[in-house]
Amino acid sequence: MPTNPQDRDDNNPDESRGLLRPPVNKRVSNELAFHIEMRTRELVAKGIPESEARQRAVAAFGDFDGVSAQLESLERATDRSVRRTRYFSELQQDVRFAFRILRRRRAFSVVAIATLALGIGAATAIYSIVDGVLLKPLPFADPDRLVAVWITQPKLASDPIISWLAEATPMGNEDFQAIRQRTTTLRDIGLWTPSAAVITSTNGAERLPVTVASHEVLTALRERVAFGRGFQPGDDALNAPPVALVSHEAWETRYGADSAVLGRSVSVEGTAFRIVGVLPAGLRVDRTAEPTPYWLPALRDSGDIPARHNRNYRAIARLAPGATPRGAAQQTAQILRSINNDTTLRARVVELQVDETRKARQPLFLLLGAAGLLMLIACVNVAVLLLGEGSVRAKEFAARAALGAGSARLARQLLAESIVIAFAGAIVGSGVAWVMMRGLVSLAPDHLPGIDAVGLDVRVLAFTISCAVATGVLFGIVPAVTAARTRAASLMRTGTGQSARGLPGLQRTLIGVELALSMMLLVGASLLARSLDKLTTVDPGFNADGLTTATITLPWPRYRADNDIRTLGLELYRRISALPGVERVSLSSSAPFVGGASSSPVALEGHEYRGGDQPLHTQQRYVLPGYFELLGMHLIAGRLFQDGDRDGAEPVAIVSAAEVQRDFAGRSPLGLRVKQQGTWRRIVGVVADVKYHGLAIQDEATIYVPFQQNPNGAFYFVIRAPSGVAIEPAVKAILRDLEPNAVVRRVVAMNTAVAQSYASERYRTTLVSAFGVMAALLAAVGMYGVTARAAASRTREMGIRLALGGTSGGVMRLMLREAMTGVAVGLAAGIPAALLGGRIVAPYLFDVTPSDPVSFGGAAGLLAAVTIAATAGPARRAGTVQPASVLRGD
Amino acid sequence: MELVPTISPVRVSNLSTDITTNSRYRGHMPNARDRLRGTVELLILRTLAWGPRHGYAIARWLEESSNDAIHVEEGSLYPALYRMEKRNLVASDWQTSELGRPAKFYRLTAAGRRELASETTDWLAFAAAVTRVLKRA
Repeated sequence: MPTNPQDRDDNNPDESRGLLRPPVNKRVSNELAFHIEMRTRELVAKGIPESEARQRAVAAFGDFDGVSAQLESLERATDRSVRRTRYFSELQQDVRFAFRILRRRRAFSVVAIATLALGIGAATAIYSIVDGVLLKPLPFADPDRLVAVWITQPKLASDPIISWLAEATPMGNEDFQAIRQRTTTLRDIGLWTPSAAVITSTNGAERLPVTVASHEVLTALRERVAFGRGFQPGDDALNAPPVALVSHEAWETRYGADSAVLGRSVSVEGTAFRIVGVLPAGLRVDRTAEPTPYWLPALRDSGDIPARHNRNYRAIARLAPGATPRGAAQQTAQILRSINNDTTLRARVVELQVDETRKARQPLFLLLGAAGLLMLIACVNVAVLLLGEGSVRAKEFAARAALGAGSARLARQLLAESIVIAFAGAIVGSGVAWVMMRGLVSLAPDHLPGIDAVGLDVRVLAFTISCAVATGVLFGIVPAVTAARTRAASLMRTGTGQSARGLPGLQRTLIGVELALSMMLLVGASLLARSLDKLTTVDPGFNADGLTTATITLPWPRYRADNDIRTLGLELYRRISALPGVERVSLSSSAPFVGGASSSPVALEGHEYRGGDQPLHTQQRYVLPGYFELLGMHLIAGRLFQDGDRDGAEPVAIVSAAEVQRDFAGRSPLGLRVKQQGTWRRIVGVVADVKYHGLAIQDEATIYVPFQQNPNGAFYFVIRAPSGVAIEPAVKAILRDLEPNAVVRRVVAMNTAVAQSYASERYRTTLVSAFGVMAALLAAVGMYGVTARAAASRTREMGIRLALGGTSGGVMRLMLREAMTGVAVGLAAGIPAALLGGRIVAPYLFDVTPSDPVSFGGAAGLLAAVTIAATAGPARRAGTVQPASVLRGD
Repeated sequence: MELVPTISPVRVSNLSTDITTNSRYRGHMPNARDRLRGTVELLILRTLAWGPRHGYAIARWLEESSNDAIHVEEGSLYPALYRMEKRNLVASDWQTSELGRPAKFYRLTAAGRRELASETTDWLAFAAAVTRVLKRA
């Protein structure tokens, strides 16, 4: 049994006599009285009469009262400084002793420290990401006055194909000009959009991301160009002289930081744009991407200007002084309604940061909640462990109390141990947090806005560490106080831990809490996992195995005419098909999970459109014959496209099953005609539905048109080739030869594209599941600790039971039953918590109800199983106690 | 070993300041009181070098070993002891005295022992320097 050397320090009389020490004035007067007494005796011994001797002794001393007062004040000061010094030296001893104890109780220390490190690490890592993405202000002046302005169209929410417009319809030129002229609530409203353009330089043709912006955008951001000039009024007008801004980064990498960049030109889609300014370093409007190398003026394109429905831009603005987002939204909506003659239009004005993170916000808070829950579970677990330690060490405390350690001293010792654990946990936890944060950032699926600037948040680290320390202090002190209150003698007599009868109750309560919280986390994780499982087993309607898509962008002004597009498409098709190793090829204007969707209203023959009745939007895809076969799509009725479906033959179309359901009430549409993009086409076939944008998205009404009858400049080549065939360089080589200004935008395996569509689901499911598993492990560890302690402290009782005829099986059952009662109570309490957790994850569930019995049963079963496993060992040991040895008192 | 430092008026004042061992007065010209106090403390340390003693015994020992040439006023002995205790040069505890009742015994601490050694060296150097000056005059 370790004993703190401090307890035995007889060199320090103040320690052993602490309570017996007389007050300061008594001590001083005793000392001086002794002096006078001695002097008196000396004088008496010299033959002076006693009374005179005393008088002379006092006189020799001098100013007795003055000196007494002086001594008292000196002594008080000494007392204080001694106490302080001793406190610190004892604290140092406590900490050193704590380290020794913890080294000896290695298993306990490792588990406690690991538990805390896990909790601290997870919570800090996730919060750091939340902080970097959602909370840290944008790097612009007065970021809370910087707003995004959107048109909203609530009436579109019910149309699955264009419902995304309901919440955030971009803005067109007419909307913009009207708002800019009439608004009193917004300042410096400007248009911008992330885009991409084929830029030709000495590097050859590259498709590069660009920012297209009106001249107000820099003003709204309160930013200035590094040098040169920004866009001016007139730059962003139809057919204005083409000018461009270059990013600071591109100025350095592409122009060697040469100030002569001003006045040079850059070829964008074949037009020379004169560079007029260099942007400040790091400037970007779209935080999900790197700064774009070039900025081009908005509204130069004829496509932007006249058409009211060409809404291509996002709008940002500054709130006017005194204006609120709400007021600005109302005024903007009025302006929009008046110029569009559409009373259903609304507007949304929202802080830019909130707007750009609106999709990430809820899932991130979900993860934060899960991590917080894990942190809470970790703290409860450490509390349980500390309580268990306290109860098993009751005997040690009793011995030290008997050796003269005060209860405050004991409490402080325990406190020192808890604090050492908490700080060790904190240090390890900081490392864990950093590693987890780097991992979470690098695995993050969507490019979250601002995630590249995420750093470990020191405030959060401080907060979680305080939580850990508070837990340690709080639950480390309980056993100390209990132990100190216990009468030493009774403890020494009865052996281990019997005095700490109050503790198992508290421990069991905490275990119950831990189980309930773990249940909540596990059910959430299980719901997400089952949902992900259902999602990934959804049949997308095609077979992506072995298929690769290559996306090619054509230089636009060159390819306007149908014939040019058709010729190039067919020639590319021919040459790609001829590539060595390539088995089959087809061409489409879009590819599932890769991109290229477009839609337009399709009118039905014989249907009278009256009043508010409009042709509904239908997804349109322009495909070469062989496309359906290549993707393994099912023909339901009629026929697929054939080589004969070319220009000049009868315009034909194939529709999807969802289209038949929506527009033909499920009746066969074969032979009927529809009007798509101004052409009447006869329906010759019906194909099964195919998922395009996501596995969870309901099937969309789709119309397929032969590429040769209506060539479309978006080229998505779908290629079947064995893995190992290098498609990208081969296609690039073909393009260099055939059309150097065309760009291969992306080459991707279709399976990869499909997996990317549920990457964020998988990301959060993986995280929450990992947290859930950790929680279950922690609960098991806590349960093991409690049961092992209980078994150890009840060895005597079990021995007596066995001696009185109990079987070891009976004893085991008793132990297990007691443990299981606690588990059952904890799990029962966990059900309402888990129901709440289910409600929280409900928005992220696919084809699983929030109260899914499988998830609840699974989580409860898992927790029961791990706690039984944790209990079994100690219970078996209790059952194999040798009665004789117990009764002998060993 | 050359114990005698080069003499200059400043040096003398520095030395005597050190002897007072009172850092508060360091760098100032010490007054007679400080010098006396420093001397008293040095003598107390020396006395305790023989072993723990109570205050009265310290006073007696000082009187006897100086043949009553040094008579430390008792009124200044105790404050000096208390101050030294506060500075951790001496420690005290209550032990049974020759009268059969508890008396406060002082003993040297490790710090006190170090102080005694260094102050003794300083004092001897100082005294030698003063002596040399006086003899030359």
